[in-house]
Amino acid sequence: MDDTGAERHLTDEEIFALAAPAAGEPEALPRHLAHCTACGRTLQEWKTALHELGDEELGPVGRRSDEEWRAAEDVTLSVIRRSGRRPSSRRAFRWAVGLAASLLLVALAMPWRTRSASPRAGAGSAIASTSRGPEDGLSAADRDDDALLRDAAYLAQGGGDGTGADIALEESL
Amino acid sequence: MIPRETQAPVDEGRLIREIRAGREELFEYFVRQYQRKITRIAYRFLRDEGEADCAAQESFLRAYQNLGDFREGAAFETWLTRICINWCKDRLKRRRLVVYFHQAPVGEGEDAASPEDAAAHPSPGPERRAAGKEIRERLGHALDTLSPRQRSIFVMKHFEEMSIPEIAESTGLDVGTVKSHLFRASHKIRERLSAFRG
Repeated sequence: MDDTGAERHLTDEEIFALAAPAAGEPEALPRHLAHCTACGRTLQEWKTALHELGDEELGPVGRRSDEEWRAAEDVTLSVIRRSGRRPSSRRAFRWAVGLAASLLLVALAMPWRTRSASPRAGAGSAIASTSRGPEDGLSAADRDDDALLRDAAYLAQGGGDGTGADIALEESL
Repeated sequence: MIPRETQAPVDEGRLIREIRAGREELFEYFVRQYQRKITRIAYRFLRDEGEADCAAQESFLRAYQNLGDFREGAAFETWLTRICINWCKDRLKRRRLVVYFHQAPVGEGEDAASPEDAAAHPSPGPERRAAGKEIRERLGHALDTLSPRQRSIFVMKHFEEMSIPEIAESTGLDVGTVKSHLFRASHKIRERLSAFRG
């Protein structure tokens, strides 16, 4: 038995890791927790704090009553009714149209491709479109999203000196 | 009567088939079931109550109008969440372009515990309440060190209690990438907590 590990109280980092497991799955509880009520209580406090922080971040939305939610739902339903558009159920038909169009394009392109003297051009563009994976494993779209979210958070916090010069700074993940 | 969350589980796939077949009134079930969650997610992105409501309405409208594109066997909730996140991203892009320098600080004063908050979260005593407040402040500061992507994924996982596959499906990221972001987020927060302690 690991006596030293069993006697030592859990640090905040360890408690946090238990309250919000990194992998998203509950981690095995340390043996120490089985007999240390203080650490058990602290873990519960951290879990509660995490939950409350999530609620706090919701601001006014988090404080809505059932009646207010019901009213918001009614508005959504009336927006849908007013739209007048019925749900589309033509997916299969669209697939058929798409398939037919693709076949037609291929059929039209075949004679041209056999006569073409520069097959590398097509290959090059195909490679270009699939080889965007950068060194850090994030696609260009991922990086765009990240920059967007960062800017939005920055603006939401009222950040910036008004020049906007510091907004586009990228932080590597 | 439209079934609600507390009642027996609903076969949403069957419901969608019926809506497609013409029973459009059944779509109300999805609004009643998911409006809160979708609005919450939208608010976490947009930080504006009115825009969050608008995002939720638009997401439901798009889902309704494009129900024919819904993949049989998929989870409606995840599909809807993805529509909402995409809408929010579009909205944020426009906001970045249009109101670049006019965004008022949102949530000022809301972060502090109000009497309503105290009533909503009754705690056993002032000592425990103070401890909880301190933890929340430390966690809040630690969350501020995350990149926006890490933060949004952490929030979806631990505040909205979405599963990793749900987050992956909703954001269009790989499961591995989501796990990686979560791991890095957790690591950063732990580092920050350690630094607080000094």
